[in-house]
Amino acid sequence: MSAAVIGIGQTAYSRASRRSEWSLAVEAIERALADCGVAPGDVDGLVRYSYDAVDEAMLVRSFGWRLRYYSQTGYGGLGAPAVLAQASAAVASGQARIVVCYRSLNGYSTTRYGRAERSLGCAGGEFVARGDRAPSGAFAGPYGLLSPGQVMAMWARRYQWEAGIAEQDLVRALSRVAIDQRAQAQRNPAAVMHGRPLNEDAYLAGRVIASPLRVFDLALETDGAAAVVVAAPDVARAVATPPVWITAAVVGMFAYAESISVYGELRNGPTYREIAERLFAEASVRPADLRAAMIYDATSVSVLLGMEAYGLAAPGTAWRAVLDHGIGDTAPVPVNTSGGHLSEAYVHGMNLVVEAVRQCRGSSSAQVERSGPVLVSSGPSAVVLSP
Amino acid sequence: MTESTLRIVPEATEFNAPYWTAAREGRVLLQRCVDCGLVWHPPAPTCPGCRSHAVSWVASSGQGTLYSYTRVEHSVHPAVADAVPYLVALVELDEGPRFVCTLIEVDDTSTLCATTRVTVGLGPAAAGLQLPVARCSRAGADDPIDPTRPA
Ligand SMILES: [Zn+2]
Repeated sequence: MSAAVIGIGQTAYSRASRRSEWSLAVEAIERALADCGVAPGDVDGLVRYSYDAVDEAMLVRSFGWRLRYYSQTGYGGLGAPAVLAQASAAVASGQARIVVCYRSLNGYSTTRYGRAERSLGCAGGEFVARGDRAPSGAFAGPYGLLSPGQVMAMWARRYQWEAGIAEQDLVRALSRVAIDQRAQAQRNPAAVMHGRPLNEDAYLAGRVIASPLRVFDLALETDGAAAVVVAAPDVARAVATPPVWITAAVVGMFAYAESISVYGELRNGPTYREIAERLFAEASVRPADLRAAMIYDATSVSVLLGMEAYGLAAPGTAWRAVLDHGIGDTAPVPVNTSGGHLSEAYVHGMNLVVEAVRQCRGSSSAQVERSGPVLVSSGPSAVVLSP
Repeated sequence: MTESTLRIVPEATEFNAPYWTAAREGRVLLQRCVDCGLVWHPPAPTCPGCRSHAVSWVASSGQGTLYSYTRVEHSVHPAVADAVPYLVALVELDEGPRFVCTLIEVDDTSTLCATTRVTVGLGPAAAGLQLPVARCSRAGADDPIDPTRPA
């Protein structure tokens, strides 16, 4: 055990923060430090998403830190496990003792990830699609493939075809993911969708965004920030909060495994499963030992794919497992117990990290019975956290 | 709104300019490794199989199979606000690589499946340009020979 998460913090989650992302980041970090009782001046490391508009220099000024380590993780949502992996490595190698990780975004009022304006250039009155990223790059944008949700809609259709199931079976499984996560949000007062339950009729009445995905299959767009504090074992044992150990981590990359692509393996494919097997071997756990899993859910289909990649269901069977047991309290391994990106908030995976820590501590609003190892995964990157 | 104002145009780079020259005529050029024969898309400066720098261009047959598709009903950008709903296909070209393009002239999407054959040729892409787009292949000459089918 070379590093532990000792503090968690989050701001209010909303669609109108009316504050800067800088201000949100400071609040989330203040809360995470207060949670574990670490004095701000003791922080010596910082890990952030490269996507974050709040950078190291801004936070150093806000907190008066003298950092001796900082680093960034790329590819958006792949950063959720990756920030913990980097913080853990920095602590294990002695480069830092107390590392803050954070994500802050006005995901509704400033930068809407469901829109394409942010990813296209403009020249001579025309919009310019650059690079070969799909969506929005030169080989996708001119054809109208412009948003992550549209790409994941194609993942969903391919999943249906490879699983050999009818569209209505796929839709029922996706609806169960969305409905179960929404039900968890009813137990989580901080969730954006708290007080707004969802049933199958309402799900099916939701408009189609990009078939087969409906509006309830897509992540929320949220203003908010979340942060965690990662520390060396001696620090972790000295603070009041129970340590949540980072027992294994993988930050994987191979051809077309960037956060969103159309050219590589479907994200339940053999290379993803190999990455998961190595992660679990390193953590000395089996998928069945997990007490909960936070699977990066930019869309509902990512839950099905992630369940298969990380061994919670055999390839081509997650849809059936979800129809049989759901992903809530009745599932062998409950998934996205805070409501996840579909119903708690979209803080680019950091809210999933915070929920994983709560599950390990025994303080989730949808707490599993016995705490134990919890997975946080995002495509080819993942960590196992353990109490 | 006129066709010439709101549209999304691809930016060519030093190693993919031939691709775009052909694409404006409805042809799909694929990169092929001179040393190992691998064919890939999208273009790259070196062979992703053997790392050779000897890269050539070959014309795709334009024939392929539908790998996936989506019917976009919600516009996420002003350039496609008038185009919705439209179909985007992910085509597995017979040469091997996958290829994204707009899928046109489909009357009933419930007929689309993982064995649907498509032909890529010049047509209206969703965001305003004439580019290679996919149409379902007419049954007949384009079909691969199915050995399980009785003669
Ligand atoms: Zn080669």
